[in-house]
Amino acid sequence: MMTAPMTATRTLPARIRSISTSPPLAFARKLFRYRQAQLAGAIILVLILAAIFAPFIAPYAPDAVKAGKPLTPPNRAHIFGTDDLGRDMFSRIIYGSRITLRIGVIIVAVEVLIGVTVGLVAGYFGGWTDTILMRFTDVMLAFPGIILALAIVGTLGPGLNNAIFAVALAAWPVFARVVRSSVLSVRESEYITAQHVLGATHRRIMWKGVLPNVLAPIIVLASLEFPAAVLVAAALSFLGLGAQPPTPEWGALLTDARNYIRTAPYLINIPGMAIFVTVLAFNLLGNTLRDVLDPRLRNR
Amino acid sequence: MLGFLLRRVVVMIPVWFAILTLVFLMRALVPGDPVEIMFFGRASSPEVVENMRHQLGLDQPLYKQYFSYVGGVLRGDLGDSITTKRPVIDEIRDRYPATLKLAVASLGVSVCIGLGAGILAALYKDSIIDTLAMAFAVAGLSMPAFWFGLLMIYFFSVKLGWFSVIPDGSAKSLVLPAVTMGLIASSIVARLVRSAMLEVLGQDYIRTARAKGLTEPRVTTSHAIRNALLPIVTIIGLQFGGLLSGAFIIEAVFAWHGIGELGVQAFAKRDFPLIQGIVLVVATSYVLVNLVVDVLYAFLDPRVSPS
Repeated sequence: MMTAPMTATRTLPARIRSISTSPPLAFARKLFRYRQAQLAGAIILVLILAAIFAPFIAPYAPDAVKAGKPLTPPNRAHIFGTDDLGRDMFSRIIYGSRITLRIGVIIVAVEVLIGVTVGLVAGYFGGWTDTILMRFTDVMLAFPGIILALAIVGTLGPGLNNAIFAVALAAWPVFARVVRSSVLSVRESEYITAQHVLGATHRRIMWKGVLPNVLAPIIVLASLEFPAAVLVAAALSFLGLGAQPPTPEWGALLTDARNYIRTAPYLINIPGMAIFVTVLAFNLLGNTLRDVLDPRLRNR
Repeated sequence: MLGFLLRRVVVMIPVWFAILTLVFLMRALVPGDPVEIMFFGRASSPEVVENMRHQLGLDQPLYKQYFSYVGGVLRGDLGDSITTKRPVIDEIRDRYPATLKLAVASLGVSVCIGLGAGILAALYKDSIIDTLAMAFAVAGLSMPAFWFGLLMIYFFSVKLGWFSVIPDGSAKSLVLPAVTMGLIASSIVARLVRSAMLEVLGQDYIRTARAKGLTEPRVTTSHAIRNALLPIVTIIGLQFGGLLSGAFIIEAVFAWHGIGELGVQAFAKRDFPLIQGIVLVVATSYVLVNLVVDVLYAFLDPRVSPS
């Protein structure tokens, strides 16, 4: 009975301490030594710059109809061509990057907020609190993610905000599970016991004592959940349940483009490629982060 | 064995009831009046709304609604669809076989490719095969299924003309959607099979097998793969649940008349009884598949059952 927590006390904090005390710069240097991370970082940087400077980069407003002749294939004036209403696809893709990044950030933030709180409380207090919270989490996990998101968005009604909310609400249990199991091993460490002895409140111990020591798995999971969230949200938009026209959300762009699959396949391939490259970049970054922060998971 | 099976079934029941409750609450917890929402706020008269509310039993207190809902489900009555007026259970019964066919075919594709790629990647770790297999895995993980599906239609239906753009439910029309979904799913299978194989290959009994002079193919087939198969069964089981839900997107892309297509229509039209029915049926299938996987696991690995 005693051996498991004992070994955890000896090995875990040392590993985590080396991560949490290393300055961010040194950490970044370690991360970007990997070629995967360099490539991913470059793509993500371009994406962020495109989102910030969209009005300066995009030659037209994203919803300006008749910016060019409708359904013009990519050419010098419109490098990504124009859609059925003559809107400039390049401008729509550039503005779409804002939506994609916003979707990913909000969804992951909500997932972290709910999941980490539930996992932290359940793992820290244990007993009945733990049982009830984790049973609920298990039931949520019994639903396949996208069905739950579809069900929520189907109940609330189509719309980008509802889709964001639905995806976040469907995915937080993963965080709760991971955080809880990390908290269980940290909870038994001597420095937590010491804080109890010093008379710190539960809230203080949870946020200042436990949370910083379970940050590594949270960061890894968040970086892997980001691309997954972008993918599911784009799928919801593609199904007509997320972003509504004329929003230049990348998934929604494909919905209209389907009708022109014979005449203007670039209308499908450009937004499709944009989603693929973005998700790929975040997946590569997430994989590298996991290798650096949590080497035990490398082959998983 | 029988005792283990019974225990698993007993554990499953409260989980299923919790799912049922959550599905029921879906409608009850909607902000605003569900009936007004169903009419998209354009009901012709207040009487129509009142009628609909009565018809759906929404004028009853919540606990009564719950008991009548649970009672109905246990009798196999999921209510009537608002758009088609037909019993939800009939709507689902008409569509479910098509989805099942698609999921099974996709599973076949994903297992063949995923197993092959995963095993090869593990056997030739750090070689070009491994690199390619893992690049394939991360690409598959990042691929939007709807775009990949449209690409398949573009190349194989529009450009090459090998398949009809509109599927007719035949075996031939199953190929494109099954390959699309199967290829994407195989990327996850490949990754997990690789790690399961690597773990087994590092075990002492593999070293023993080699030490006693067995040929490498023999070590691989009768020692490594056989032991790695256990976690792989779990992976494949989980995949199957994922494929049932992945069908929602693939069916929309390929106009495949399954439960996913029905679901997307129901979601768009806010047909609550149909939405609830579909979510319940898919979640139940998911739980049942997990049960089958657990039992299969115990069957394959005698060490599991006593615990």
